[in-house]
Amino acid sequence: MTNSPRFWEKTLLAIRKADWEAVYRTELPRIYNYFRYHVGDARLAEDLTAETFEKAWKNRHQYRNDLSAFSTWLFTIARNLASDYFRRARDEVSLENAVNVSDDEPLESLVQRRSDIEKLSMLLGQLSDRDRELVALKYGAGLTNRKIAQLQGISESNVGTILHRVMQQLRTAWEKRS
Amino acid sequence: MNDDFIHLMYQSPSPEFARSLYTKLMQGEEDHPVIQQHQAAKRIATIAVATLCLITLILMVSPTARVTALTVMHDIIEKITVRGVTVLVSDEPPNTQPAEESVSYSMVWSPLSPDRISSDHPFFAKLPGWVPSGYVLQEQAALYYASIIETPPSSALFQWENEIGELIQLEVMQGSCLNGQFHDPDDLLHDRRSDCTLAIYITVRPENKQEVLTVHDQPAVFFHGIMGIADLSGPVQTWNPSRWKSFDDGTNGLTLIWENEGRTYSLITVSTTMTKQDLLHLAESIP
Repeated sequence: MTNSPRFWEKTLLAIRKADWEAVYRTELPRIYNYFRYHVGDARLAEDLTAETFEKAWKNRHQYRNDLSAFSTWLFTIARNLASDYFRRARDEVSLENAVNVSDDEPLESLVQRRSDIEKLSMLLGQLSDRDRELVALKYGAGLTNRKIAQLQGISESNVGTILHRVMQQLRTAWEKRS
Repeated sequence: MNDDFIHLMYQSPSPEFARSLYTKLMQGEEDHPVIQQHQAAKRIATIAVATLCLITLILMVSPTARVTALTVMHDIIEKITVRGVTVLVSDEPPNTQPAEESVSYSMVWSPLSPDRISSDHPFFAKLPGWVPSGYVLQEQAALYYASIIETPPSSALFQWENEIGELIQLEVMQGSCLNGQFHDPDDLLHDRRSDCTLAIYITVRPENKQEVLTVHDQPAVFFHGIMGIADLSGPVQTWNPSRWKSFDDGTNGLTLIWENEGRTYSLITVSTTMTKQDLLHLAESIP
């Protein structure tokens, strides 16, 4: 109790009861699949996911008002990492580890699934950066159009329009190659 | 047409990866400021025990000291039985610097008008029937969410401002601690209290002692000063309620916190004219 008065402060800090394990369980698959849709490779998606969480986790309690800021922070970090990654190594993406192999899965099915994923990854790779980002947020992270609009700074209807157009484009290309 | 193909890429993270990453994350916990708070609380508890021992010795030799001590202890007991709110007097300099990144991460709140909150989220629309003259309810209200994913909002923030820029902010939060007081210096975050859906952690400088008042027949913690407020400056759609405006001068403003019917209320004012009675009047006018 020897600190000078200037060190005495009043702090009002509302801390929601935060079940961080539940947050982790919820956000991990979203962040992971966000990267999956960006990079295809499962191990690379794991590395980027781990980097994202490690950057965010140690300061998670600073988000006083809600867990939403933490979730947004995760996605902000993830998007920056994805962007950095593509700047560094766009052409080095490997599909070697694109599929998690289950011991129980028949070889024929596994081969078919790997082939399909390679095809989808190739089609996704042909999208523009913005379109692929939207697809990753929608189908990888599972965000609503409203949330994507907030993250991207564009209108919700704009998100819907772009995604509709991108899906048409992907569907056509997919059927052509089937 | 079938769009199932787009979901082919989706897969759950492997359990091994999920487990190892979580273990790694939790191993870094000792570096966290919360733990520093925890340690600070333990230090305070240690000092309290030592002080208690000293008081006991004095009481054994002095009747006058005994009477004084009983008065002080009554005061302490009254304070620690405030339901739902932890009040901690600390000499630890709080971390007043928000995370450098926090200003940028403003996406998961909705800049709604008070009318929209009233119509769409009536649980949080607990607006007072009375505010001091000259204060106008601002269009910059916000709903905070517990997650970026579609979840119900966790709190709403309203602001009133007068002509000279003095502010009142009311945050209506879902959650409380219904089963009695939870003053626990060893567990400031109350993460392990299953009956608490929300905890408020306050440190108050000792020269500005908190008072326990009553709002709607519920205990309410009042104290002079605030450390900061949500900075709602800027036009709608660009302002950021996650931005925190700190005050170096701890004598600014008034704060009142209480619970009622599953909600926790935080009422803060930065004003040279508002009084404790004004704050209570405003709080009591919330239906």
